[in-house]
Amino acid sequence: MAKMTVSVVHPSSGNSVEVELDSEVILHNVIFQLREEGFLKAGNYGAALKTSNGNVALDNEKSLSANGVTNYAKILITNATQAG
Amino acid sequence: MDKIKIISSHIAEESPVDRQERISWWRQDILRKAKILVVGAGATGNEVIKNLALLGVGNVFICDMDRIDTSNLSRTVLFSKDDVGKKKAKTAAERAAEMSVYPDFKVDYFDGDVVYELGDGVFRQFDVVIGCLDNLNTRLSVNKRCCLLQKPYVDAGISELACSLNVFHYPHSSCYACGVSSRDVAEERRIRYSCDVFKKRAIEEEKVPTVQISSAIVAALAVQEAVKILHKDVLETEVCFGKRYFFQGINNNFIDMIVPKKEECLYHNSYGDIIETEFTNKVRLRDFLEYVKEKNGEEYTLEVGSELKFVISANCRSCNKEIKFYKPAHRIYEEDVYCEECQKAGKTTNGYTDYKYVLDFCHDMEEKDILDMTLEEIGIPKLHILSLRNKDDKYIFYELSGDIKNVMPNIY
Ligand SMILES: [Zn+2]
Ligand SMILES: [Zn+2]
Repeated sequence: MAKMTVSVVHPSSGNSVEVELDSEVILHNVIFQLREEGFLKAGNYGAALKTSNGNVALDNEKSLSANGVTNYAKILITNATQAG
Repeated sequence: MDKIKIISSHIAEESPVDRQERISWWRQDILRKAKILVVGAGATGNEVIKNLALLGVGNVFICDMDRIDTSNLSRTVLFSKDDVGKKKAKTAAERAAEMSVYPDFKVDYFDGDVVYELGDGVFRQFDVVIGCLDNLNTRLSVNKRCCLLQKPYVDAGISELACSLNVFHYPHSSCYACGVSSRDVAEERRIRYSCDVFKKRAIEEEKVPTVQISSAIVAALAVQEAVKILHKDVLETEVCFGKRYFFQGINNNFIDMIVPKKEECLYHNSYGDIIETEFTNKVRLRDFLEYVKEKNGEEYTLEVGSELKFVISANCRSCNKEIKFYKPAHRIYEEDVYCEECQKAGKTTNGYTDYKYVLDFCHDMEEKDILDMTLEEIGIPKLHILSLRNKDDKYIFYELSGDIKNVMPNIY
């Protein structure tokens, strides 16, 4: 268990927050807490990790470390787009 | 010198596709021959179908099980007030035919449940599949068939001013399911099925806020990807598969991302060589198994996937008494799983139910009566591809190709 700091970018405002969290926390819980904190409004979200080789879609069910998220990483939040 | 005298003049007839043909790499002949399967004829499906018809794509197959509702009219270019109550798939097909730049445009439609009633063989006929769906269950089912037949799958989705486009081509890339979390799959099953098998009749579908402009944006992107996929042999730039493009219209934020291939993804399977047969799904199971045995000189077992479970019996959800079904699970609703007495007495407590089902069908199966049922009766859709397994676990794949002229009379 290691503490790390990541920057999370809001899907529609483009604003970001710096978050200190545990590398083993599941991404789904991070999103849940960002809703609790009021950074994201109610709803479903996805996320992508910004890397030097482009963005990579993240798995909500995996921990940040299993998703390849490292200290000072930037996570881009996306809205769920289920409708047709 | 005598002045020239013009005797008659002819104005060159302009082709309706003249402007697009001026694109240096554009091959209208490729589009005219192309076959595209559009799953979903709602807001996004309407836009996709309109784009395909105007571009001069020659063959389009449209699937949708719903009827046109007044609330659809602000988002559906193919439907008008007089169409309320009509079937979406059929109406969209008629409008597409009127709109197509070609008089010999071929369009067919399927008005039913894509998950259970659309045979895998349908997918085999198409060059690209475009999903314009509103739920995860059908998206996963379409993805499964695209994997099994190795077809490019372009999936579009919208919400408010946001939209996303997924472009996959298994096994060359990840598949749609690689980008879906197991929690979402479990939640979807919980909403739609009771005890994970019997359908719930009234599903509380969440009404997602959407607007026509998002459908128009994502449909344009989806069809553009399809055009590029069709031109793959003549385009200098490669089409990127295994990608998701997210566009948030509020701040014009565009994110393109790679969807990595998941090693543990359950959808990474494909059919081997597919053998066409003259059979339709009206053939009796016994006769079909006999045919396979004769052709191969040995006994084969027909194996259906878990979504085509055939239910022999289930226990009443209230009093636990056994109820005979002899029906595919997808034709049983949760309220059917109560015995007559409990139904009469209004005892419909929501208990867990045990049920007996079969996934394997062969000459020496326990329930011999099933052998006299038709494939249709055991739940096999028209133009399906059947997996058959011998005693050494070697598989062969037979298609009910006799159904093709019924399923797609115009395209075929
Ligand atoms: Zn996959
Ligand atoms: Zn009962």
